[in-house]
Amino acid sequence: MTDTMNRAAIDGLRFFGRMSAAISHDLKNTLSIMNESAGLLEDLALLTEKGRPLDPQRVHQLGATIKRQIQRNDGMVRNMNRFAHSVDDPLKEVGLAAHLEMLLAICRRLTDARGIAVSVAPCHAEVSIVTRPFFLLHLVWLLLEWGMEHAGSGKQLVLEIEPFPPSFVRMLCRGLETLSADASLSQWNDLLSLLEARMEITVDRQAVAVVMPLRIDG
Amino acid sequence: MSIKVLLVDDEKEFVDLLGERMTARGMEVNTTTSAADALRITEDQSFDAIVLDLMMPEMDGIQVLKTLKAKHPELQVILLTGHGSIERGVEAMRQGAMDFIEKPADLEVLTEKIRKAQARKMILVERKVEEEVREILISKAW
Repeated sequence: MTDTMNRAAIDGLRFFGRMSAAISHDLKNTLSIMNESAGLLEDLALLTEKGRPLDPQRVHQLGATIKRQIQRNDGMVRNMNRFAHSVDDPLKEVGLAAHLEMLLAICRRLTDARGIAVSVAPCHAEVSIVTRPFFLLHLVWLLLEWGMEHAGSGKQLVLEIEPFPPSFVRMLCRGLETLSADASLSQWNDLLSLLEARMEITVDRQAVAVVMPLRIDG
Repeated sequence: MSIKVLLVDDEKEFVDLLGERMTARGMEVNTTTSAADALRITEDQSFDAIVLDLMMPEMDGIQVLKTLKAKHPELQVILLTGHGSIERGVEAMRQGAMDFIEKPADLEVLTEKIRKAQARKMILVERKVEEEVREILISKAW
């Protein structure tokens, strides 16, 4: 294993832990709602036993609440599963927008906590790339963390994907402010090297861009 | 007199359901999903206990706790944590929280903690009143 890969793996483990903790927090929230719904059903049953009439509408509402939380939970577990499998293969073909959406769903609580709305701009067609999926997610998260520090007054960051012919794709993180063209981005060199990518600051578009190949041959 | 509780958590369904169950147990419950709102509400109203989520958008629970305790030292805050580790809970206690409880919370356990909070607040308020009376007596030199 190269030194670059070693460093990226150690930092990557930290990133994996942080995202796992964020997921577990979200899961605890849905479990709490289901727990209170079940508790309220028990309360209603006890009151009914004591002679108070049961309101069927209330029971329907509680059923709907539990179903909603189960669906929410299912989405989280699905994302958690995809995230966990991102380390399976050194190289894998991924749909870039879907990959980014999955990351944003996982880290939503962390970005919300900073008061920043983060989204992926809709694109005409999904761009598939062969890349190192886990390292790409890590790079995007580091970019978001940095971006949240430099977000404009709109407090909104948008990830935008655009073709970069002939054999690259560009992912922009827009919505930044106080950007200087010579800001240091060297902290991401290990990941950029593993992804065979480069980073650019485009002050006029208030963005940082990652230019990466459509295919890494390994 | 019923126990007065403020529930603060960004999950609306959670505070609504928990609030309904606590009300059925004779407590007087106010709820909010916003930390900033909680700070505003505590300016106008007094509570026996505040049940506060540790991780909320716009303001971290610990930050809210520090602000609340700085303004109203007698306030009894019980923190709700979604984290499996107790580290944040210990940090919260250090910052003046009365107790913490992990989500999903057992209502009977939470109720017990709220009762303790009420008792502790009563002692603190009584002590504060005693001190105020003593100061008045000293300053008036009757």
